[in-house]
Amino acid sequence: MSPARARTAVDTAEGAIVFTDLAGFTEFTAIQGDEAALDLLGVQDQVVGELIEGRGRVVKELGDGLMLWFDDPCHAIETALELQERFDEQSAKENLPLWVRIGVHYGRPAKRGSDLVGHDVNVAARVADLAAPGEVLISEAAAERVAERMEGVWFEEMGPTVMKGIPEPVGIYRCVRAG
Amino acid sequence: MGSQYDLPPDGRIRVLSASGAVTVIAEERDDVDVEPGQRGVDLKEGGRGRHRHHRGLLGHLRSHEHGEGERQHRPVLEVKAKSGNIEVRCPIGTDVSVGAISGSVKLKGSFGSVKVSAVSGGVDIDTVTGDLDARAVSGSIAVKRCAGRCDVSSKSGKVRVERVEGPTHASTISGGVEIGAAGSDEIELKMVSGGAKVTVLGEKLPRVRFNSLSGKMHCECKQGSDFDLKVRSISGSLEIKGR
Repeated sequence: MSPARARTAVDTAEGAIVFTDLAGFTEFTAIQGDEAALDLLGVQDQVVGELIEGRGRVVKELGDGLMLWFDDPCHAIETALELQERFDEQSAKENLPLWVRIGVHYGRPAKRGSDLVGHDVNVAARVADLAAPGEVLISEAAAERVAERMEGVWFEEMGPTVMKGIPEPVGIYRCVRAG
Repeated sequence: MGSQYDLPPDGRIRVLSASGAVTVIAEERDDVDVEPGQRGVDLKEGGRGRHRHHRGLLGHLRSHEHGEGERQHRPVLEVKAKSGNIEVRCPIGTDVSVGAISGSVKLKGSFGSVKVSAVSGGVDIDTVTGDLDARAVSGSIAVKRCAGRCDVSSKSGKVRVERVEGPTHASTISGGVEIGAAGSDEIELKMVSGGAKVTVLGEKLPRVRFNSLSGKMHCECKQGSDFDLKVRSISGSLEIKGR
């Protein structure tokens, strides 16, 4: 098989890629110790597990962060917002710094077993990199697919952003609950 | 002297740069002057959604309308540069957004609303009379004055806003935060390891709430209930100065 034909045989999936990053995990671990760090990750795992069920899946763990997958971008954004709300509640209740930065992008990554790779995965990671703790940022590609279908969510335009390693500017929106 | 363009009524300016420095100057003028500076600057036309085109002297400017819903229906004059420095001169009070990777971003003069995202370059802004959203990955952010809502965040750079007058949210992972509080709206700061310095500029007295795992608070000003100052950190300390 020629390389060109091999490329056309790549198995892809279309949907929303979500990256989360737990801000300050290294500092938290240094101050509170490994046991407390494991507890913090445990709380994160529990919240994610509850909210992602029936909507998407955890693709992989990335240290203190996660890569998630959703077939439906509305589910991705709703889950991301609910995650932030739950993290905020847990932070206040247990005095834990569950400060999570979340980025969402819609695209067609290549499947590699249960993993996903490719340009769209890289874009999603870059979107998360721009998010502040407690924030949900989404790409324009994701916004275009959900804007008409999501009630009660505002998409505040941040403007196209130039990202390292990504050739074209990526439109970024911040998702917030309306009202 | 660069190339001049008419800014459509209610139009805003967007500047995108991969590696060069971006300077936007708000001054007494009616049009927009774009100085490409050197070869490699590209004024590009394009965009998604429903849009109509506004052709300038070079025929490469974009007037862009987004779709329905909560998105904005405003024309955008877009300047795109892959490399090389770029300087844009615009009317005072213009709304501006800038996206940059490695070059510095400087906004000189008084602008309307401002949105800036940068990866490694520093961001330096004079005056924002509307809302500000500035975010950087490793670069620092310095703002002289923001009259509206102020959202600033940097992952590892320092954040400094000399005078905030509206609701403010600032966050850093390892960089420090410095805020001059001149309004009566809530100020919320979130740092991981960086410290925060807040100077209360006006007569209003803050109601301080500081929550940290190991950071200490040092307050040299009277506290009251005129506005909320909420600061959370993991190890960063808080220093407050004022009356």
